[in-house]
Amino acid sequence: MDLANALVAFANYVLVPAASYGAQLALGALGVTLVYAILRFSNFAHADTMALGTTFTIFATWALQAAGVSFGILPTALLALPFGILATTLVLLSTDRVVYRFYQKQKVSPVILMIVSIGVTFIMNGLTRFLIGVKDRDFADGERFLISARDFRALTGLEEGLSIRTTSVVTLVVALIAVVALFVFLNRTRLGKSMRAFADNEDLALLSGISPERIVTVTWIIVAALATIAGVLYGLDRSFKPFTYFQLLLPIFAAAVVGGLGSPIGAIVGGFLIAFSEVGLTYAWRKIGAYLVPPDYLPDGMLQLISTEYKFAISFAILVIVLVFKPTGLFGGTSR
Amino acid sequence: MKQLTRPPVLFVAVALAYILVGLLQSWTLSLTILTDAIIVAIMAVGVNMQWGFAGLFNVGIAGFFALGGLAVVLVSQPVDRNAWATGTPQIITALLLLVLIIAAGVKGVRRLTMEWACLLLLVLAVLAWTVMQTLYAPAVAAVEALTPAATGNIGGMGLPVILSWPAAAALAGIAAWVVAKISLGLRSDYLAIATLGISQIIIAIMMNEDWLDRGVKNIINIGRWPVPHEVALQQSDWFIALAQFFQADIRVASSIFVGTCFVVLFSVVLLLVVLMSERLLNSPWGRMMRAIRDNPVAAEAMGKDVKKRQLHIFVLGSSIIGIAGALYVMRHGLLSPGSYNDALHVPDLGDDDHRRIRKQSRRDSRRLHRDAALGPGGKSWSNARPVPGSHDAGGTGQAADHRLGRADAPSAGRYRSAGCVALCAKRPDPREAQCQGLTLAGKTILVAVAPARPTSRHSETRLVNRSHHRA
Repeated sequence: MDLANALVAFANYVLVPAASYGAQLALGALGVTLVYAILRFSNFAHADTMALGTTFTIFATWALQAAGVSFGILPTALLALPFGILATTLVLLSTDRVVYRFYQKQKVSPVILMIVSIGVTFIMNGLTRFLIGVKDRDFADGERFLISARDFRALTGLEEGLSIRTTSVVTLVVALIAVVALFVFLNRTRLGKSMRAFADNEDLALLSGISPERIVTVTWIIVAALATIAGVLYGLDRSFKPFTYFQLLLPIFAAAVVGGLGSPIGAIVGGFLIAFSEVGLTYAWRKIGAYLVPPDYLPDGMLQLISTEYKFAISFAILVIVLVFKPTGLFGGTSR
Repeated sequence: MKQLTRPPVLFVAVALAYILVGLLQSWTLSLTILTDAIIVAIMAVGVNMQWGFAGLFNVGIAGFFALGGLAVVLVSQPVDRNAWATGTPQIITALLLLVLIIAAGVKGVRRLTMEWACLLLLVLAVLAWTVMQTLYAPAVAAVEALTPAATGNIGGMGLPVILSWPAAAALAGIAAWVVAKISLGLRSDYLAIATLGISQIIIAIMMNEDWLDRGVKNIINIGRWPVPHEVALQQSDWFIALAQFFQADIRVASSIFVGTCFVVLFSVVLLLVVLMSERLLNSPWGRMMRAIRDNPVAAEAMGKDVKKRQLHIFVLGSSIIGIAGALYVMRHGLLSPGSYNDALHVPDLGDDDHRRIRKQSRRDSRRLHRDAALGPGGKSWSNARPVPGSHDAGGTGQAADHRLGRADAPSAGRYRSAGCVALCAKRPDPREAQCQGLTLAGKTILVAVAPARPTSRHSETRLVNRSHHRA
């Protein structure tokens, strides 16, 4: 029985990766849930918006790097983030003008807007591949580790090393700042309050003089910011590959549905729930078990519940459980 | 007037495109594209039934399409006696037990109170785990260890490949039934998200379960009966005589002949599917479906079982997509689960990783060379093994070149999707937009080969009213 080593191994292989992945999912789900609450459709283009935002940010990063600007131990991409957000905002606002507004004026049913958003996905996906290509790109620079496994071992004298990557910490900090800023905006400012009012009851909001144009514009700006931040953090944490972003769509939607579509807090909780289940169920627990259980009692095998290839199945299973038992989600979104 | 003239013009334009490809590049390529277009059209009929007739948005088309391909392998691959002796029965038993366990769980959860249901689920989970560990895992390991370079999977049933079409429909239908059972009756978005999930899972299973379909190692030499193989043609006397009569190069002639056979065969399927779908649309059943789509609440108030009807049409549409998937695998003689990993579309038709397509075409050309090495009179629907030593018997190198030619046009898919959205955004008559939006994806593809019949919003409304009166 060796609790300290077990805890360190748990933190190293489960807690830290799941927390940063959860933060990325939460930011993504927040974007989906905001579009759902304000514009009232499921935005399938969100994952590719993330990819596109990351592409813009990568370009800005390259420009900054070429100009000799760096951010010390932090990745330069953080400095480039505002440019990425700006470009993404322009894209989303023009998509809104050209595509979504036409349908919103006719008050079509949400299914149609959803189909339209699939079309937008294709365009964005094509644009991303056109702009930056399909190759894997690693754009993280600066210090790679805050604490490397070797330093940690030397520091504590434990057998297990805990390596904390800079990107994990950056992810958590940036996500925290973004979420706090969003909640302050939604709860404290006049504009944020009118957005919530609009989400709650469109007709009443219109009667009290809230301009829908303005609300929709602000929503797209926030969504662009959230998507770009989530995409860049995901790209920093792993590496940027346009194709992988579409596959994030399922976990993101699962997170939003688990929390209740339309509920911001739900989206955050859902993001972490999905991330922890995904990492927890695909991790081989034998390493940690070896510290906790005497070797004679340790079962054979890797103690891995589901192989990594089937991590989609976890989001899907959670989604199914929620749909069957509580279609409104944990924090009471809408079910119909 | 506009509605009368537009389809013929489009038809002529598309036909011209095929003729141009034939003249400027080669007729084999033109025929290959045409068969792929027919397959996509069949798929589009299925999608149109779901999106257009019923307003059920299925995002996981690739998954159902891939399942159709899987059915071909399971039905038409030769029986692998070694695998049967080592582990196939155990694998099948384990999977059946798993299905029983899940069914018991679903039934139990519905009937029992919360506490008992939780207990039951716990017991069943332990049971499932034991079945997987003791029965399934060792059998899978044993099967995969059998000649992994050549097979390593459970093989098929050794039946003619045509029999795999109904199997494909059944397989895709079952998957659709499961998804629909879970998410129909809830908000429409949930169905879309659930289909997205199931299709990713289906493709992940096909890529990783080597015992099932060799995973990313691909299955080649899939039978194509009744369509003959090029090499068999080149060695049969009547075809040599025919080629001489037309004074054509025998290699080109054989690939054109095979391409034409595929076009005829698939056109028959397309015709049947389109006729069936049109008959359905115009029957009382189709009228009811449209009424449900346009106003589910009203239809339900009229006593229609909305959920059940939607379940039917969803399963039906997915089955048609499954059949299209079977045709696709049969046409290309190759099941490559890795290639389905794209959002909605058939990857071989366009926009993907250039490198991967090049790799794929290299692989294809290798396959074609192996095809070419088949002995004379190799039975077309059984899986004939290549004869060692006899190299390219000729005639297929050209087909491989066409693959490369297609790989040079990766932007096709992008333009297609761009067209989709452009159509979406620029509908001239806002009143029509709703119907049009729904049938849009179906139509943009369908318009290439099959007659698209626009239905205006007015007639839909009238139909709804009529069905209200009737009920």
